[in-house]
Amino acid sequence: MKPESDPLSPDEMLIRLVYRDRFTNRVPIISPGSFEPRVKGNHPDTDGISLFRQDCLNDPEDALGVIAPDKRPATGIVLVPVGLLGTLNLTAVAKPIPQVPGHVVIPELNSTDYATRPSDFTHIKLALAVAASHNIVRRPLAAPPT
Amino acid sequence: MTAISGSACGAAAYVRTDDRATHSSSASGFAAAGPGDESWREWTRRIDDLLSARTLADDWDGQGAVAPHPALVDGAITLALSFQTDGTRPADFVIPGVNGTVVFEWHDPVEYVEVEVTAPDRAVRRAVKRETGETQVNHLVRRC
Repeated sequence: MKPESDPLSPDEMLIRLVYRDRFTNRVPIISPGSFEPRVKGNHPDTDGISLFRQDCLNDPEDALGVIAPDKRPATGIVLVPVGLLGTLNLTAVAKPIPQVPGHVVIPELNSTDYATRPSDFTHIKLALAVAASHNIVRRPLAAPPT
Repeated sequence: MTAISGSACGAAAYVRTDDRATHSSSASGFAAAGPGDESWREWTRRIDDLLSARTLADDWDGQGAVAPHPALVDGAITLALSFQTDGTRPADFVIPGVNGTVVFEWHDPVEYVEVEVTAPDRAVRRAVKRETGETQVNHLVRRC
């Protein structure tokens, strides 16, 4: 396991937490909406969307530590290769948080830019979702019957 | 089971107000449709999903997502009913966005299309060519 102070290397994988309605049993499995920056609410992605370095965690499920316990069963885990980011003109920057080590943000996918020109990001979200569909670590539990 | 009446507007519920092309594509295919079709039933399931989205509260995903306003979801249901009536291929995803919108997604080998309902009577259609990443944007407004 790497300390989060180690520089990010191109062969690393980043963890993204994805809510269950963004998963299907069809192809594609993961919705591009999984990578939509939050521009409203209590936690806008001012500095960019959040991911976690897999190499900084004992278990990818440790990343669920940022999610309220009652919502964790509904949350899936996917991976995105760091190497993909450069091809999309994206970067990943360390932004340590107390709850989970290895927290990074993608500054180019920030709330301000997304709010002003969301259509410019559609192809980026799509590319990330395609990669994530090939790298599913954990599927969320199905919704309880209503 | 969906308990909602069809859109009085039918196929013409929404119209494009512009054609601001950053890049191009067609819509999802159209064909005759009726209640006996699998496509119709699939749309009914999507509409049921939307009815569930009406009851979402803020922070529904545990990461601070904003819930869509019920009136916006109703607009999305009107659009879904229009797609169903038109025989549009069922969307692969119909999901609430994290910013209080509702998004329809179609994933095809050549093209990805999404329609994001941004207000009860407005939506944005984006079509991305997979090979080039080119994106065409159209703004849609409900006529009735």
